[in-house]
Amino acid sequence: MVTDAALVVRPNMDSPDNGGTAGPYSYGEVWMGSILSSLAWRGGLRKQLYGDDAVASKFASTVQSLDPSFVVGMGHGNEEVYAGQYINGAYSILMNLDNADLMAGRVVYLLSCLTAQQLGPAMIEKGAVAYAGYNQDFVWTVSGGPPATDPLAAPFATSSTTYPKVLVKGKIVGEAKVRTIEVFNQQIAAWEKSADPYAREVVKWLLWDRDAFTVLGDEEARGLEPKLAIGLVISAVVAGAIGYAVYRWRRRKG
Amino acid sequence: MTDDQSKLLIERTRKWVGSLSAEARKKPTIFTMSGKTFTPDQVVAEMEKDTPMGKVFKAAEAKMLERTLQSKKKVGL
Repeated sequence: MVTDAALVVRPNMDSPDNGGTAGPYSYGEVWMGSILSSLAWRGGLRKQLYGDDAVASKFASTVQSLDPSFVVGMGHGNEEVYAGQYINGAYSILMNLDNADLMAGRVVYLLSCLTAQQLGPAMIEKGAVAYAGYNQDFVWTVSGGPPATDPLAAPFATSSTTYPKVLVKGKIVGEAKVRTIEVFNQQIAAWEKSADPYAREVVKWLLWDRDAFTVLGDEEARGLEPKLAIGLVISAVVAGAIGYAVYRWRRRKG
Repeated sequence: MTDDQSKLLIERTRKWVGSLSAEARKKPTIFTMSGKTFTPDQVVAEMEKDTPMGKVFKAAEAKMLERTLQSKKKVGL
């Protein structure tokens, strides 16, 4: 029996050949950060493996100790492998066909290239409840500015984080899948109207990523249980307290 | 994919790259979650060499071409 909890894997160091701290992970790091914000807003049990913690030994031990119902991972991948941090001269391999059973009983989303070809099906075969990922390279455009505010990367950030963010709200896998495709399509439609010289590339790669997006397993399942967001509760309490203070102040004055 | 199709896809991409400034053509613009980054010039070079990534670039450009043709059909062009 898994725990109602989320694990987010968030490497931040690419190989020097791939740009080091300015490589593809610099974008994924920001995108995973936005999922962590959604999780913080929801409240409940959650953990991230960030930077040098996004390595094989910590991944396996954390999955076993936290026993999360929902796993979100960003990192480089191929048909059989999902990798995390670049450390000691190599990318740390977090999952392959031999340890795909680590995901048994869980709902999984991998923002990674190609894992929907073999690794995702292997997870399902070995007991994962649902898997979502990409059956081709996940590709996006960049302008070279800071990843958090890069306008050419923004539509990819929005589209690729929709699936986990819908699941954080306690919705089912099928709803998250449909919503993800809708968001990709909205972004495509918006950029098709753009006069930006890079707009055609943005549209091209949004089409590509949308068509590569793959969901396997039980579409009625939930990654996390529906929960009244703790952020909403705190906001309501604070708003109520301010309202009461204003009411008291006005009564005292009048 | 035939040679003619391949040439058409490279030509379409080259046309876009040609519309960029010399500086922009040498700036990494395409990132992938397999860990690679490409400048617009490198995209064309990969397509011309028909490398594994060049095949991806061609397939994506073919998808884009198909969408353009479908849009034209819809408006009766």
